[in-house]
Amino acid sequence: MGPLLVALLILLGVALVVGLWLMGLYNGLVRLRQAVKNAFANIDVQLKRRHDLIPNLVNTVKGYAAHEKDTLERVVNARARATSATAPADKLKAEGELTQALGRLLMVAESYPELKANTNFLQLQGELTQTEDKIAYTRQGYNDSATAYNTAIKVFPAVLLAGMFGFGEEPLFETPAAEREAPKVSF
Amino acid sequence: MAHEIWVPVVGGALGIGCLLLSLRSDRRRRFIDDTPTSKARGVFIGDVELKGVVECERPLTSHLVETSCVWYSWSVAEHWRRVVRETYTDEKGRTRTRTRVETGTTTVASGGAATPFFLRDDTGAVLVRPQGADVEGAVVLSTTVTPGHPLYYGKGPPGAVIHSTYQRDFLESAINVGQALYVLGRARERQDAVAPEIADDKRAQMYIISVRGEAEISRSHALGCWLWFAFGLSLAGGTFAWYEQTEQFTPAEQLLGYSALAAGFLAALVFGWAWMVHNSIVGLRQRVRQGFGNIEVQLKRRHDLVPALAAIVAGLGQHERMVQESLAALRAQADLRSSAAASGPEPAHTAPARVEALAPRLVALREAHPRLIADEAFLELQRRLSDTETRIALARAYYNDIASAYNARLLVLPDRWAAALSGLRPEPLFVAEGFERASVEVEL
Repeated sequence: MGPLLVALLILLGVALVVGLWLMGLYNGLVRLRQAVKNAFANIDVQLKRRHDLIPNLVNTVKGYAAHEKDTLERVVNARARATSATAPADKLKAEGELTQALGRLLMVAESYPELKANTNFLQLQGELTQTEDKIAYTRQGYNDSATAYNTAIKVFPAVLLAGMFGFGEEPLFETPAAEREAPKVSF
Repeated sequence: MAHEIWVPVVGGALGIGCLLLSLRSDRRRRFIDDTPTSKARGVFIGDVELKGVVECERPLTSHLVETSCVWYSWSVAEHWRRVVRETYTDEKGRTRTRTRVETGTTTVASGGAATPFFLRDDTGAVLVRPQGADVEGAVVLSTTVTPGHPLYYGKGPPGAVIHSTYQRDFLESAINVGQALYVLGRARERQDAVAPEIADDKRAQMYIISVRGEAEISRSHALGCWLWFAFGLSLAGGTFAWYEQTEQFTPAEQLLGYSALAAGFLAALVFGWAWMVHNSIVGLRQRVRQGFGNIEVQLKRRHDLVPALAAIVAGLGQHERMVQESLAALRAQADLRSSAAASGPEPAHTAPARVEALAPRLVALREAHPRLIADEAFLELQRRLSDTETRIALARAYYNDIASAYNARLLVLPDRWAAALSGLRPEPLFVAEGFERASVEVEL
C-alpha cells in the first residue's frame, strides 16, 4: 500500500465523517424548523377550539338564564292569577297552574341548587379563562420552538450551513399594537 | 521506540477533551447565572429556573430514616478487611513473600424512589416531575453501625460479605416535604390541567433539582471548569514530558516542543472559549427575544380575555336584577296570601294544599337567594383581572432580568470581546410610560 493510497484513504475517511456530520446538522435544522411549524399549527388548534366552544357555552348559559327567568315569571303570573281569581272554577284552574309552575321552579332549583344562573356564569368565566390560558401556553410553546430553532441557526458552526441552505429566522409571537393596551372594564 | 509518539498525541487529545469538558462546565455556569428566577405563576413553556418549597399530597417514605419525602436515595456498604500474601522479587533477584492488609467496602444494598411534587413560592405552585433530573438531596443519615444496631439487619440484607468486619455504612439522602429547593429545567404543558410542569426533556440544557442554593451550584460548576482545565493541561504536559524524557530531547528541542505544546493548548483554549462564549451569548439573546415574545402572549391573552369576562359579569348582573324583581313580586304575593288566609278559610282542594306544602321550600329558596347576588362573580372578575396583570408583570420582569443579564454579558470582560467579534447588540429594557408611573387615583 503506497503512501499516496493511505493519504487518499485518510482523506476519504475525513470527507465521509465531515459529510455525515454536516448531514446530521442539516437534518437537525430541518427537524427544528418542522417543530416550529407544528407548534404554530398547535396555536390554530387551540384557536379553533375557542371558536367552536365559546359561542356554544355562551348560548348554553343564556339558555339557562332564560329558562330560569321564564320559570320565575310563570310562578309570579300564576300566583297573581290565583289570588285575583274569585269564581271557584277559575281559582281551581289558577291553583292548578300555580302548582305546575312551582313544581317546575323547584325542579330547576333542585337540578341547579340554590336557583342560580350565577353558577353557570361563574363556570363560563372559568372555561373562558382556561381556554385563553391554553392558547397562551400554546403560544409560549410556539415561542419556545421558534427560539430553539432560531438559536440553532445562529450558533457556530450551524450558522454557516443555515446561510447556505436558506434557513431563515422564524418570527416570534407578536400582538398587534392596538391590542397591547389594557382593555377598559366598565359597567 | 518510534511508536511511543502516540503517547503524547493521545495525551494531547485527552487534554483537548478535558478542555471541552471544562468549557462545558463554564457554559453551564453561565446558563445558571444568566437564567433569571421565575415565579411559579410566571412559569412559561421553555427553560425556567425556580426557587420554592416542596409540597406533596402523597409523599414517599424514605427507606432508612422513614421521613416523609418526595425523593430519596439510600445505600448500605459493608466493610471488609483481608490479609493477602504475595510473592515478589527483591532488588537482589531473590523471591520473597510478604503480607499486606487490604480493606474496603462493598455496597450490599441500595435503592431510591421519586414522586412528582409541587414547588410553591409566594405566587403559586408548579408541578415538578423529578424523573430524569440530576437530583441532589440533603443527607438525612450517614452512620456506621455494628450488628447489634437495629438498622444493621433491619434495613440491611442478611448474611455478610467475605472477610466482613461486621460494620456497615448506612447512607441516605432525601428531599423532604417543606424543603427549600432550586430547580432548573424545562417547562411544558401539563396533560391533566391547564398549567405548566417541569419535566425531563431531551432538549434541556440541564435538569437540576437541588437542595443547594443557586450560588453554590454555580460555584461548583466554576470549580469543575478549572479542575477539568488543570487536569487536561497536566495530562497533555505530563505525557509530553514523559515522551521528551524517553526520547532524550536536546535543550533546543525541549524548548521548541514545550512552546509548541503551550501554543497549541492556548490556541485550542482561545478558539474553544470564543466558540462557547459566542454560542452561549447568542443563545441568551434568543432567550431575551423569547422573553419579549412571551410578554406579547400575555398582552394578547389580556386583550382577548378581559372584555369577555366583563361581558359575562354584566350579563349576570342583568339576570340577577330580573330574578330579584321576580322574587320581590313573589314575596309581596305571599304576604298578600297569608293575610288573605288569616281573614277566611281556604277552599279545601287538594291543589292549593300542595301549593301550601311547596311554599316553605319556596320561601327557603327565596331566602337563600339574596346572598348569591352577582358579587361572587364580581369578586371572581377582580381576581382574574389581577391574575392577568400579575402574569403580564411577571413576563415583563423576566424579560427585564434576562435582557439585563444579556446586556451585562456584552459589557463584561472578557465576554465583550467575543460579543464584539459576533457584532451582538444590546436589547432595550421595558420601561413604563411617564404617566403610568404616577400613583393611581381611585374614584368610586
